[in-house]
Amino acid sequence: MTEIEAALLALAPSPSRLNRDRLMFEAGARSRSAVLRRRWLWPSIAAGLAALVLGESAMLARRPAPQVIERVVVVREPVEPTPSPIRPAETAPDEAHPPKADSIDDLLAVRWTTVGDYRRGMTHEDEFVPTQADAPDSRPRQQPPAASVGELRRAGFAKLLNPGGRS
Amino acid sequence: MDPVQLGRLIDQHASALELYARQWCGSAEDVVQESFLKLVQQARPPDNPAAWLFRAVRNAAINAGIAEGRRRRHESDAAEARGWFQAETRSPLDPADAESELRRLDPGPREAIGAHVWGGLTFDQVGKLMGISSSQAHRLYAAGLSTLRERLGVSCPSNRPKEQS
Repeated sequence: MTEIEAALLALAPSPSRLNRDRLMFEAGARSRSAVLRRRWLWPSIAAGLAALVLGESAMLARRPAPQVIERVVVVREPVEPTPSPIRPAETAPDEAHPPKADSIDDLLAVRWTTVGDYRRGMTHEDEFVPTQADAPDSRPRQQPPAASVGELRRAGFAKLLNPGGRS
Repeated sequence: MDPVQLGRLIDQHASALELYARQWCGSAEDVVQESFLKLVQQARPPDNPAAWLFRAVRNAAINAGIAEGRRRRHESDAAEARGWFQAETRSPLDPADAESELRRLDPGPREAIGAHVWGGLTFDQVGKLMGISSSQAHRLYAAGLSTLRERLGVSCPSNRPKEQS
């Protein structure tokens, strides 16, 4: 330690002007208030949460029952045209009257042409125009035109507004 | 913190804390008292209560000094006729001279000297208190001592002639 340090250290600071007793009293009072605040912290939080739970329970108990709304929804199924059956008389090879052929090659050509026609008939529907007599039930069923939503509404309104006759 | 511990801290550090606070404000007693009360209110007591007190006093004194304002500061300076040091002393230095020279010092070295010499804080604690490193705190302290040595006319140990054996 140097001399200047020793000399400075030998200088004693002026005595404190703090009122020691008053400071101790204030410290005790503040420490007590801090303890009291801490003591009330958790009970007050618990009381607040309990009040919240009670309020929620009361709200749930007084809540009106859920209202059931019934609606009739009409879903129209799209009508798919059914494929028409094939008239075997037109496409199948005629076994009773086979086509005439001079050679086996001609015969095969005729047979294959017939089978080709038959197969084409299976795949190309536009080549076949079913007749009424052959396939009476094969036509796509013509449904009566569905009533539009507007018509249904009008009918419903008319029914609703109908006061009815005398009883 | 129990009352015995608090009473011991007051006895040991109150005067040094007041001296430390006088660098910034005139109401050093109020600042120190508030700092002790804050210490009592801490939920967990600090590891080093003395260092904590110096820090609290420093912050409060700087704030008080700003709040007091220029006029109020002059009034308190005029009212403060007691001086920083006790008149009766074993020191070779004159207390009034030492006070005036300390007042003339730059704030950094003065704070470092006050915290280390009369506060008893280590340079690490002084550095933390001032927001600088411990080596910077030591440099400030050494610079302050050198200035005081020159101004107060204290002989430097390195310049002292060696004794002939």
